[in-house]
Amino acid sequence: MSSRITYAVSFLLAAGGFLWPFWPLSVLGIILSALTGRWIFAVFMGLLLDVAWSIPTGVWDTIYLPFTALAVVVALLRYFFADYFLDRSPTDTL
Amino acid sequence: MRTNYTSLAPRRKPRSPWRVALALAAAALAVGAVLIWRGALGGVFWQLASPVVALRDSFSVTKVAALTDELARAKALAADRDILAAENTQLRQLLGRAPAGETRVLASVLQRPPGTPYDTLLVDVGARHGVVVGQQVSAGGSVMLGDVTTVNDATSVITLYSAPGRELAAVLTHGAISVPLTLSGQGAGSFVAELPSGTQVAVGDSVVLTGVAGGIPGTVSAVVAKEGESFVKVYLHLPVNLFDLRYVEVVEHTH
Repeated sequence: MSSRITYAVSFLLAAGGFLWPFWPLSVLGIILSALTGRWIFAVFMGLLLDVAWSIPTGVWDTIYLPFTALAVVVALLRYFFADYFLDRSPTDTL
Repeated sequence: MRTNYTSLAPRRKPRSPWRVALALAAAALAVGAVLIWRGALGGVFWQLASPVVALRDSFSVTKVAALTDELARAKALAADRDILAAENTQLRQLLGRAPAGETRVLASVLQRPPGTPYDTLLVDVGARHGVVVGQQVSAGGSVMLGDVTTVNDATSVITLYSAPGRELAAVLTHGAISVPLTLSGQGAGSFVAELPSGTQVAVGDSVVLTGVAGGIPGTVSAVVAKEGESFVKVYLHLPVNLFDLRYVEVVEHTH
């Protein structure tokens, strides 16, 4: 997927989740962005959503910035495990 | 011969360390800013987003949605009105009924069973309101509940007549017939008593406390008579629902 489309789709998902409002859609946007390697964008979207929805309640209260934390976690997962799941190993021909 | 093979070790695209460091620093700065100025940033965000949100709301406001909203508001208002009306009626019933020779202190029930142990009530009047140990407590009118057993400065503990182990001398009235009996508290507003077999007693009969003050501590809820036994068991309960009790009156006998 081209970079522009990825940015657009993930932003639309996050914004759509905010405006609908249906937060799982925002989560999907962040995950998509972070999984495709746009982790800074994912973190900024997470921060924006955390600012918008304010401090969470209940068990999420301890996380304080849950959307941002999600972006960071997914970005780290991608960093450590992507090479084992995505087709990044080039096939060489001798 | 052409041989295809895949390297076993995953290769990573080399990343510029400066670029990564810069990105990390920017993200850390942004997170720090949000942590410090979250409230202010939230205010700015909502100020900027409010036109978009208003636009979204204008799309979602259909006639059905508007009517549903109006109905919900009307229901909330009706519920509020019912609560106020019930409270008003209850207060009207409680006030202005005191017989001559006694004054009554209106008390709000702070805790009731099962919130309090041992069939007790915690009320919001105490020594500063003139409450003393031993004063009778009424649920309104002649319905007697118990008496004051502990007095604090602004609160008091009332032990109900129905507390387990308590015994109370009373008189059962069945039409024109009066029969003395001893009520034994069973907890949660219920009593048990024994009467000689053949005594005229029926469900709904009232018992009255002995003494000049009188007062009704309970009504008969069941009568169990076994063949060949010389006593019948009479079960009684408080005439009010203990668990819904919101106000009580502490009775002060002035003479």
